[in-house]
Amino acid sequence: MRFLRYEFLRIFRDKKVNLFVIFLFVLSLYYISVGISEYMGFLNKKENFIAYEKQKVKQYTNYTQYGGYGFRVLYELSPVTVFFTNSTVFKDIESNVDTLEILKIYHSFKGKNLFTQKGSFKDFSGIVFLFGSLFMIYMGAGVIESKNYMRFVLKQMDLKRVFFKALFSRLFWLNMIFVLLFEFVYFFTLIKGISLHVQNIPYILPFLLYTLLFLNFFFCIGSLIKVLSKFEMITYMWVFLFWFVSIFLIPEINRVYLFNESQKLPTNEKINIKKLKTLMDFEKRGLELLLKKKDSLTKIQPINIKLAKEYRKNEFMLNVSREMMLRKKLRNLINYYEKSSLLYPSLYYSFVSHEISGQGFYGYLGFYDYIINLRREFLEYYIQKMYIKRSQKIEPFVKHNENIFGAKNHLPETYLYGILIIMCYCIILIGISYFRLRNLIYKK
Amino acid sequence: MIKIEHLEYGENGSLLNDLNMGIENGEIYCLICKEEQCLETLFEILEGFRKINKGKIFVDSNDVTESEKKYISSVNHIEDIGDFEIEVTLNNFIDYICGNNINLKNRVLEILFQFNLFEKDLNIKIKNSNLIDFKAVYLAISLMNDENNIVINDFIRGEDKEFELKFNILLEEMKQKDKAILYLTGNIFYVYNIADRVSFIKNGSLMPAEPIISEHLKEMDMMALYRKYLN
Repeated sequence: MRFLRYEFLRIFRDKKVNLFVIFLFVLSLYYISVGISEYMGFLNKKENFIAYEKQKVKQYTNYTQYGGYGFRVLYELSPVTVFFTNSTVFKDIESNVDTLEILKIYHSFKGKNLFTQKGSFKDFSGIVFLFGSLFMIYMGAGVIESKNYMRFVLKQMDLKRVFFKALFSRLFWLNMIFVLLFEFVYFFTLIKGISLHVQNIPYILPFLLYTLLFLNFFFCIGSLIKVLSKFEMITYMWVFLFWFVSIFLIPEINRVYLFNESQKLPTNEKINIKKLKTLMDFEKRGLELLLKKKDSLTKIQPINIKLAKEYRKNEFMLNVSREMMLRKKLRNLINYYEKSSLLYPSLYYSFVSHEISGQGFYGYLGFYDYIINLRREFLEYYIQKMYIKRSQKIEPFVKHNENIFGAKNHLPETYLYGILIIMCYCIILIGISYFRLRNLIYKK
Repeated sequence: MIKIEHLEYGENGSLLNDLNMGIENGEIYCLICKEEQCLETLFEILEGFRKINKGKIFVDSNDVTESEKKYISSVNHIEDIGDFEIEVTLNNFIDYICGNNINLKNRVLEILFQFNLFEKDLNIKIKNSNLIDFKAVYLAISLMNDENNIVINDFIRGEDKEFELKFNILLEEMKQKDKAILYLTGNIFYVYNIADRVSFIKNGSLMPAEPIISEHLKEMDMMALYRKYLN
């Protein structure tokens, strides 16, 4: 209790710390409000989207139009996105499901969508990432005031006890600040009417856990730098440099590397042209067959059905396999990115944020799979209506919410490894700090 | 009682070389040296923060050479409170160091009383307190364990005569309580007021072979001593 009380006083009697904590709460509140407002805006957009899509189908006069224009599918954001408005891999995306050969997944910049641009760190998780890490590395550097201070305190206590108890007491209070901050923003979102369901909690809590470990990592780095620089004033320059490299430079290097790796993937154009060629070859073959039977209209109908079934079985599946091949390569790259991110906490923090927001790589792949599946079903539906039943009245394909893909929050598969690795880092950093401090205090 | 035998420190004894001395209970033994590093080193050795190359240290007849805890109260000099620039008050700091031990806190307050400092005066942040008050708190905490042996490193540097006087009275009281006090300093004029025996360290070696008794010191020419041992 002695250490807890003393570290509480050391932290909270410092005006700078109090001001910073207030600043952090105010800024978090602001960005959570922004997140909530953007999410509300999205819900409006979703309503308009559903209404428009219903209206659109009524405008089609035949299935050829329906098959050609198709319908749009909206990626519905998770309410958890309010914490990660700008820390996502993508904003709200859409896809168009039709019978054409190109699979489209896009974000529209048309009209007011132009103003929904992304900006780094401008959300709750970004604020914690940016300012939380800076705060913690600074506080870590303050665990041990100076060599003389430590030697003085050692008159009554032994080094191991002072170092570890002071460090963990300080960590306890600092972690409490961030737990309180999380609770504060969580209840604020509830008050503001964002329905964070029970099923979201298993994602928010792991995010909180990783955030705390991420911040503790910076704290441990701060205390290590202080000891390594022998308590000199230059500590704070190193602290700032390390923070800058960790927060800006390493993620940027990783991003550029990932971008370069992604360039090795086949281009969309290359895949699309292959798919188009397959389709055109099929159409050419079909046309030749139909021209042979042009004298008898009654014979054309069975040929059309046969061709459509053949297309669904062969050409369409060939094109799907091409998409799946691209997906596999994409998945490999994402796996590589995930594993490489594991090595450095600031990279993995971003990865976890992306995935838990529901707008990360896993979310994208889920949407990709959903669209491919939906296209298959839509083609089946189209063949049935157009060639087999030859219906005249347009019956919508979307009966319920098939055109809304609900984002799923994901916990990365490597999450437990991430936790273990960052904990190992913290233990190693604390261990090095202790032994280095011991060597500084007790000279040979 | 503190006894040092053939103490050596530094490369080939460059800092301290074959030091032999004994501080009896109830005496103030002053060791004067112009090189601050020598005194600092000896002080840190007696605090238990440095390991010696050669030699032995006995405290109350116990060999404490290898032990980190030397059972000697130590008081170092403080030039500013920069090293202690923490946001807590003097009172919080005393509570932290004393823990739940009421006796220790009472002992600290007892010493502070001699410096006209009361509990109510201690509700000031360390970083905002004045150096003299902080020195008094530092001294009180350093002496609160009431060890039989005390080593002091140049604590008085002549900034405040009133403080110096109160400190000298405290030293005298401790001497009366039969404590062995080793005072390390570079100031030959200050030791004149407090010392029972005096030795010098020059080039790492103790001089003269036998310490000078205070009565003899008063009869000696200070300038000659200065030229001989400190120049």
